[in-house]
Amino acid sequence: MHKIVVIDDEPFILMMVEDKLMRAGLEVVASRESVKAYETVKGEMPDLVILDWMMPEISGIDVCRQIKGDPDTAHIPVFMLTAKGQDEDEKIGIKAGVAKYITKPFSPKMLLDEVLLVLGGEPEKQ
Amino acid sequence: MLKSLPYKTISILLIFALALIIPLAATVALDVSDIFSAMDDASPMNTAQKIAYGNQKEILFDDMIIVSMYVFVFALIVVLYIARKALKPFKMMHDSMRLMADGAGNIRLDYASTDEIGEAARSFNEISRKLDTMRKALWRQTLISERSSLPLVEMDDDLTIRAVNAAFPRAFGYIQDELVGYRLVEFFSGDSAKQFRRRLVEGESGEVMALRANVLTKEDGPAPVSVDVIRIVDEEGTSGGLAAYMRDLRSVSILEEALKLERENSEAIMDSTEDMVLIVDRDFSVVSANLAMRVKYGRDIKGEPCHEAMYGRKERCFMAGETCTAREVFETGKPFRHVIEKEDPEGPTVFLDVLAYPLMDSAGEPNHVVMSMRDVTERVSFEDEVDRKNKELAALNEISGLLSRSLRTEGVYPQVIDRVCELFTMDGGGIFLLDDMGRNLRCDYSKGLSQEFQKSIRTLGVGQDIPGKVVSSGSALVIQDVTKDPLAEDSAFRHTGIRSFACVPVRGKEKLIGVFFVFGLVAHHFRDGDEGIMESISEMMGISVENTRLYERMKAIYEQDRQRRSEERKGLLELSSTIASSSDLDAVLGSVMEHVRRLCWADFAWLALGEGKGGFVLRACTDKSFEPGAEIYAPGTQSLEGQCIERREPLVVPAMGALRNITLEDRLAGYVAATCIPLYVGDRSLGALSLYYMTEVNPSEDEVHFLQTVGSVIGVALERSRLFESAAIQRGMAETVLESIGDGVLAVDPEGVVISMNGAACDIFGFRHGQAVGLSASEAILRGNDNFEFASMFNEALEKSVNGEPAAFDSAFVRKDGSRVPVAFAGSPASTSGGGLVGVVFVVRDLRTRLEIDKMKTDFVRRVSHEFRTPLTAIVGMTEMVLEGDLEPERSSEYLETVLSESRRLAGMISDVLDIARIESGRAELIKTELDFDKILDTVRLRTESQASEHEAKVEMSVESAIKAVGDAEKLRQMIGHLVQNSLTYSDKGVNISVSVRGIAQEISITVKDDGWGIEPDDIGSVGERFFRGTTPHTRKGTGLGVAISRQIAHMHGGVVEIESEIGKGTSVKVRMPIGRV
Repeated sequence: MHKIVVIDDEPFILMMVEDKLMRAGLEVVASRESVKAYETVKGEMPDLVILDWMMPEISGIDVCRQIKGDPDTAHIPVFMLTAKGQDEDEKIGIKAGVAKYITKPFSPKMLLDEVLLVLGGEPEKQ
Repeated sequence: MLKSLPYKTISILLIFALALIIPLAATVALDVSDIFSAMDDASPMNTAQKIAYGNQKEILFDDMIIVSMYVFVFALIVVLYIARKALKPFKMMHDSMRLMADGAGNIRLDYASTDEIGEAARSFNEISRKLDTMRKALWRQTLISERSSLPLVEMDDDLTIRAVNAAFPRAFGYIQDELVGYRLVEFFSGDSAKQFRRRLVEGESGEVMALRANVLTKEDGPAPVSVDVIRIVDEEGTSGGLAAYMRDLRSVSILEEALKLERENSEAIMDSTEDMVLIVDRDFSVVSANLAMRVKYGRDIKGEPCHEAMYGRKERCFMAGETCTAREVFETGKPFRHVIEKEDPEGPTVFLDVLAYPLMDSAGEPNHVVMSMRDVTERVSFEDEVDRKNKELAALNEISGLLSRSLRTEGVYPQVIDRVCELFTMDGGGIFLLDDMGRNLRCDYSKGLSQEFQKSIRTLGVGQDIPGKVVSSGSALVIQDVTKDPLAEDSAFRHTGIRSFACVPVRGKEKLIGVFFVFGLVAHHFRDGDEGIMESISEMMGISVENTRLYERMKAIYEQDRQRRSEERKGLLELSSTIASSSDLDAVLGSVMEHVRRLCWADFAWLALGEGKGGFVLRACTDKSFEPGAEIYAPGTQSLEGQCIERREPLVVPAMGALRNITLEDRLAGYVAATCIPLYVGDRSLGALSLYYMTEVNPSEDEVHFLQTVGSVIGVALERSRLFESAAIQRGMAETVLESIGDGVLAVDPEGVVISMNGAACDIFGFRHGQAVGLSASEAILRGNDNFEFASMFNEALEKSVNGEPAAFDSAFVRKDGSRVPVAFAGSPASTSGGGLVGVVFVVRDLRTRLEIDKMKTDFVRRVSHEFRTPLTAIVGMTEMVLEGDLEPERSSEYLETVLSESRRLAGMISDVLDIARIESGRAELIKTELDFDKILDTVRLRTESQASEHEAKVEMSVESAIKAVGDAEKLRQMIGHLVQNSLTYSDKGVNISVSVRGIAQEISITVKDDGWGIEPDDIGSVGERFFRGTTPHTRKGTGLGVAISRQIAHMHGGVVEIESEIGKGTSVKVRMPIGRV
């Protein structure tokens, strides 16, 4: 079973993503603690990380850089959820090693498709 | 011969044949007989045999004869053939000789063979060539003698004529052939014949003789001839007769006759002329001298060398260094003329004008010279006289020129004395001038005297020595020899080596002013006119000296005048510059008045301003008891100043006592005279400048003119001052405007030098006020190379603007502190009213605020979109998931609730944003009413009640009684609502919130206080920024617009928002606002 770490400070978005992914049979570790995001990833060693960009205390991009800067975690693909719609923002994200840049508002189904695409193969349904 | 030759050959051959064949045949016949006999002896033969043999013998003989004949004929043919070939050259020779005999010349045989015949042919050719040459020579000679114009006779020894040439009969009229056989002497006249015969006998031994004879012509009688007789002798010396050449002398004798006559004539001509005429040959010997010459020298000097005959010189003239007339002509071949000075020991010097012509020989070379000499002594002396007069005139002219040209006689004396010395061949001289008293003579200049002597005669009394005597007598004195003349007996000049002396009085217009003198070191004979000339010179000198003195006096007067004018000008200049350089006219006008008064020697001066009838106000004066600004003449007063303004011209009053109907200021009562100058600028009168005098004065025109000039200067200064003041006011206004403009204004001249820079521009460029004026704008801007780009753009814009094009650019300026100020630059040319460019004005707009606003706008939009996206994400995502239908029913309703609450939040945010936009755009207006805070708070309570109870919050509200204030109740309600909302949002459940309204003096304070989470100290400053919701995770609930809206509403009521907060303890927001008016 693939493990996914989701970090977002908005509780209902976190809830929604968690629901969607878990219902697709994925193991989800959801957290609102943006400051501890990196430690969570390091501890869980998931197959994918979904981060919100705009978080208080630390931005998703910085967390992504931390992940990509650590050889242990660098291989983990990172999805970025963001309300930032500008192209230059996307460029910053890609530069930081973001695998997929998902603009808010997004369709949970589409998010799931993208997640499955990155993880490869259809996971068994519950 | 040739004909006989073959026959002879045939004969020889026949003889040869006979001599050969017959003996041969006989011998053979005998030998055959012998053989027969021998055979018969040996073996006797029968008859038949014998007969046979005998027949055989005969046959042999016959055969032999036939063969012999045959051989002979053959040989003959051969010989004939060869002989024919061999004889061909002989035949040619024969033919050629025949031709030669017939007279043909130079015949050549074409036979080239080396044998004897060839040799003979060549010899023949040689003979033929020589013969031809001789024949031609003979022919030529015959032709010459025949064609000769000289008669030629060839005779035997006995003078019998053998032949004559054609010239002979032509000359003497005979027929050529009839002369042959006569003796030559028969043609001579009697005497000639005898003489000829005698000479012929005498000169027999000689080969040539020449004599003259007369030939009897056939028709004209005897003709003179010269005869040359030659004996004709052949090579061996044998006489072959005589030849006579004759020359017809008839024409020659005519010529000789003519020449003789000519010579006689020319001699007669030469003799008839009064001039002395002389012919000299190349040896300088006199060939002929005419009568005048002979008379002059008393003998015929013919044959004598010319230098000896004429000058008694042994050597030739040119050797003695003189010009030799004859030689000149011989050398040049051209006529020559000159005048010879011939000294005569007994009489005066004689001058001869010599004119010499060459006589040419047949080769064109001069072989004789004809000299004609004329005594021109008289003319020469006359010319000398004229020349001397000319020199005198020239010298006089020069002296007069020197004297009249120079106004400093001292400098001219040396030249004048030099000329006089030259003119009279003197050695020195000098000038004495009388002193003013007329008692002493002072030596002003001398030349050629020793220094010691000069000292001794530096001053002479009148009557002392020669100059003194000349002064006292008043007439010139000329002494030929000082040592001998009694007049110079006691003169100091006597012992100085001076011999001749002339002293002439120098007269001025009215009196004697001195003397001049010249002297010579040898005795000098002064001519009659010399004294006169010296007197003219002295007269000129007198005039010159007087002129000079006059000039000096005039110059001194002029200099005084010039100095006075210069002082006036200087004073004027000082005045002008004082006035011009002073911006405060009042401060200087007093001193200007004083200056004018002093320059014009006046006692009082004032400057009264006014327009004549309108009365006068004192502006400045030289007396301190007067107060500037005070009225001196009331309107309608008849004053001097008023009159002069009316007349528009200076008023000079030498004596004021004579004036009627003129009011004079009380304090001016003691003044006697006045000068009043009206002050005008264009057509506008300003007032008058007046001078008052204690004594009667009539100022000169110059002085009035000077005052007028001063008046104009003051007038202009007054006008300028007025204009300056109004300009200063205008300028002050303009500056205030300029300074108050928010945009920077920078004015530069066309060279880019800063003329002005207003406060805003100073702020932008980092200058203190006025600091940049006078600096080059681009250099001031550059400041290192930080603003290289900016400066280059600026220069480009400046250039464009100077050329009249509008120029604008946007750039960033780097300030001293390194901060970049974005600016918009726009330049436009500034011109005078006449259109001349005076500079460029740049408007510099600080774009920082604009950019900031732009950035804020962008940020706002981004924030709004970002904030909107978050609730939208929940709405979109959750709705999608609910619709998918794979959620549990509880989960679904939970999701839908969230969707609802997020939708509300979104709607709230939208209305907040619109509120803010409305408030900020100024479209939101306050609807002011008297406020009832109880009612306001009640409404707030109602609106937040559900949320508060949900949050288990305890809200207390208190209003201080009797607050009377005015404001927009709805807005204030909205404001308090937002603040309560914030307290609810940023706190845990069970929060205590208190809302209190207090009135302090003219102020109301509305405080919303909670014991919620509190705000981070760093964040307090940001509270009130749109969409700011704090940086801690749990603070992110509100729209982030509440405080911003509250602040705007407070501002609209003229209030402020104060926030106090502590993390974990709570927050207090206080709005303070005036109670307001309806």
